[in-house]
Amino acid sequence: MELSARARIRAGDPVAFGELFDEHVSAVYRYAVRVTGDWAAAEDIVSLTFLEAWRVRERIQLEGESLRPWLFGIATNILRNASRSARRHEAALRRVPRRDLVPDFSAEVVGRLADAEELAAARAALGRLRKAEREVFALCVWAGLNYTEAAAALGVPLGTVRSRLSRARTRLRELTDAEREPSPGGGQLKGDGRANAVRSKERHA
Amino acid sequence: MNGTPRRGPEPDELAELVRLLPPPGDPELSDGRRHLLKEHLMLQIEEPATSPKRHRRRRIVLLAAPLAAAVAAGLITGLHGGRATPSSPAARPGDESSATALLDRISLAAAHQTVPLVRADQFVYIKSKVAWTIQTNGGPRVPQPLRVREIWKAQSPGRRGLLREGAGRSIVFVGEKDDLTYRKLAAMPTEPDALLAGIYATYPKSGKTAEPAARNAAVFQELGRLLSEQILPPRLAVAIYRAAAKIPGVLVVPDSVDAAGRHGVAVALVAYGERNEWIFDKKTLTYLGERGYMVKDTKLAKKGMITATTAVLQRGVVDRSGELPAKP
Repeated sequence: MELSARARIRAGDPVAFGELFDEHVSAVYRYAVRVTGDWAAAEDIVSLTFLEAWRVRERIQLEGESLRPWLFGIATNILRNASRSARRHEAALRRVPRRDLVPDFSAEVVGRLADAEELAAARAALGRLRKAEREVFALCVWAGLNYTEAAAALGVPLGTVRSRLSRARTRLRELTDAEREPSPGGGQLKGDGRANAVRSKERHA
Repeated sequence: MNGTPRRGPEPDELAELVRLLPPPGDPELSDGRRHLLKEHLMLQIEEPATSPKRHRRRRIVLLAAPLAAAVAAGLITGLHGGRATPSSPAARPGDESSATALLDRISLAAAHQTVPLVRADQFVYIKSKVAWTIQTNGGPRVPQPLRVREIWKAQSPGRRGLLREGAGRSIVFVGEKDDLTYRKLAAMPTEPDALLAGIYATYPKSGKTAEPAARNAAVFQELGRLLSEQILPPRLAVAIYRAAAKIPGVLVVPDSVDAAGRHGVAVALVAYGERNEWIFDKKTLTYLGERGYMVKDTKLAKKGMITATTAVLQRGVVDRSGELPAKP
């Protein structure tokens, strides 16, 4: 009898769990970088997410399709309580070697610096939303979850997700319109932001 | 994504939301980091890091094992069925289960080792001191002089590796598809029975390896080669030690010495009068090197002769053949 991936992970099958990692690690990492703005911290978030997922694997429901919303729910909680999660899995985290510092300015590093600036601008803008709206925005717009998945990840009703996203949209419209008005002495690099948006819109997963 | 109806933001809604904020960039986890994170996650799942208190309790259990070993030893050889080994004068009762206990501790130490990133365009560098025996025309085995051996192993086909042995002689060798690269090692089975079965399968039950003793020795040597001249993913190292514990006749040699004169405890297998030893630092249980030691006279060698001696001096990853890794 073939067990589903959910059943196998719930039963503690390491191979099935490894496959879960392979399938979702990039998405979780991307989400963690976009929310924290820190490439190294994001790796810890990835480790913590999967360590915690393994710890609570027996809570997995047998019905359901992708486990991505479940993982994003865990990741979101960890992002909210990063220090508590880190303490719980301290021994495990200590085993992961830190990234080496890249000493030279290879193309990879320069590319990374440019990305970091992009991300900083995005996060600064996101910071103007309320926390609940920020979370929904990050999950629905940046991580590509639909309302159902985001609702499952956050443990809130679907209607709540929809209304929070709607409020986020209204708020961001207001803020953007306010910036378009010529403001005395205002120094927003909005022009560059638009150019970036045009250049990298295709890269949005 | 799959075909079920989605209830989420409408495409134009989503497009507007995307536009309202500067794009957040597209951060990607490199292959190397992803592999590393997975490696350590899986290690944690298969072998949880324990708190200091629990660790101490576990050590006490291991030390007590030899006391029960005298009883257990008689049972162990019986369980292996068809893979019987000739009894060796060097094996004492209790050696086999203390080998299992020692290999268990060694694998725990190996699980904790940090492993450098290895990219496909880089080279794995191993520096050792080595001396083996050479044999000419069926004559007696003669030990070679001790020399330093440095090898740069290409990690993808077409790249030029380098082997330097003794005074100044260098051989360039080009990476080939079948080479054992770090990437290939990372894809090997990490379940000890699967790993062992795979290696046993490469030795046919005919010709030179007809005897179980010969097959056991060949498999033990094959595993030893992985230990001596590779950078191993931690989970594979753990699997190798666990697999070795299952080879019949593997025993402990309480004191041995490598080619650099470093003393250590060894895990060994005797075959046809020759004891093949893997030597480990007694405190840290890191791999030091190997030794071959004659435990009885044979046609080609006398008892007490050293048939092989190696010591691993340095392992690292470099960008070019001939380059040395930065000293820590």
